[in-house]
Amino acid sequence: MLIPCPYCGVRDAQEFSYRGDAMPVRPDPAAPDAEEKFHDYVYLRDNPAGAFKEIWHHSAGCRRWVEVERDTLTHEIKATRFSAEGRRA
Amino acid sequence: MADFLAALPLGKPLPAGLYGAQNFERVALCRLPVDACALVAGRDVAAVIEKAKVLGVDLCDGPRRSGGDDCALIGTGPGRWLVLSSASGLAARLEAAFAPEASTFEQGGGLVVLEASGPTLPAVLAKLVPLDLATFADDDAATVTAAHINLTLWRHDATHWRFALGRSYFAAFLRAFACAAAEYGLDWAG
Ligand SMILES: [Zn+2]
Repeated sequence: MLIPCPYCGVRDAQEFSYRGDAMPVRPDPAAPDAEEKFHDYVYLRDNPAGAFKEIWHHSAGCRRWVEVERDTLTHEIKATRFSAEGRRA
Repeated sequence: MADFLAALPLGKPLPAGLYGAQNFERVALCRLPVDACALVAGRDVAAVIEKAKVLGVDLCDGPRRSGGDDCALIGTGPGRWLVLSSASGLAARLEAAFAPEASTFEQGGGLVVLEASGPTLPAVLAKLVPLDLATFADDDAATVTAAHINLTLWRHDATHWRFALGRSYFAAFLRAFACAAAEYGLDWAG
């Protein structure tokens, strides 16, 4: 599988290390239901067959975290961006 | 062929000399005596690019080599460059030119810079680097692995390629390079 890194260009997936689902957002630790929210944040993951947004680290290249929109059935990659540019901006 | 280096110690760099086939198409490899620093921009990359003009550099924030007055900046990541110079006092020069918009880290003790050339070099690199180097223009750079060794390489000019790699991997990289170049021959200057 080839992953287009926004900085390095198209690179082999072996250059990347896999982090996992890109969607979980760290809950507010001050919220009254923080304990339950953190349980879900740490342990619960979707495992979709199809479109998926995930985080890869380009560990053998530019060493940046990259958010990849990948179809888990076909390995087609629709888009990539540095993860800092996404939801945490 | 796999064990033609078997008599040499694994942990030490290969002694200078000829390795592999003895023909006129052999690859030449030498070590460059340069100092190295890492330059890391803060939030304002544009300010860093502006300040680079002091060093005579038209700085590119991408995997490219940007040359200046007795120094070269090679992009290794967004807002990050490997800076090489054969002049002394590189870190102080960078600190004076870029602080506080960018931070300077001395890398001279940890990095080895090599230069390779020869008509068969593209065939040798094709065995080592999982990139289509034929598409690289002069000054194009990449941070990538060769024989599981992380390195930054760039096309210096039409016939010369340069590599920067961690010093602790120097001996292992030389062995991998000598094996890849064995069918053409390697002239290692040490
Ligand atoms: Zn990259």
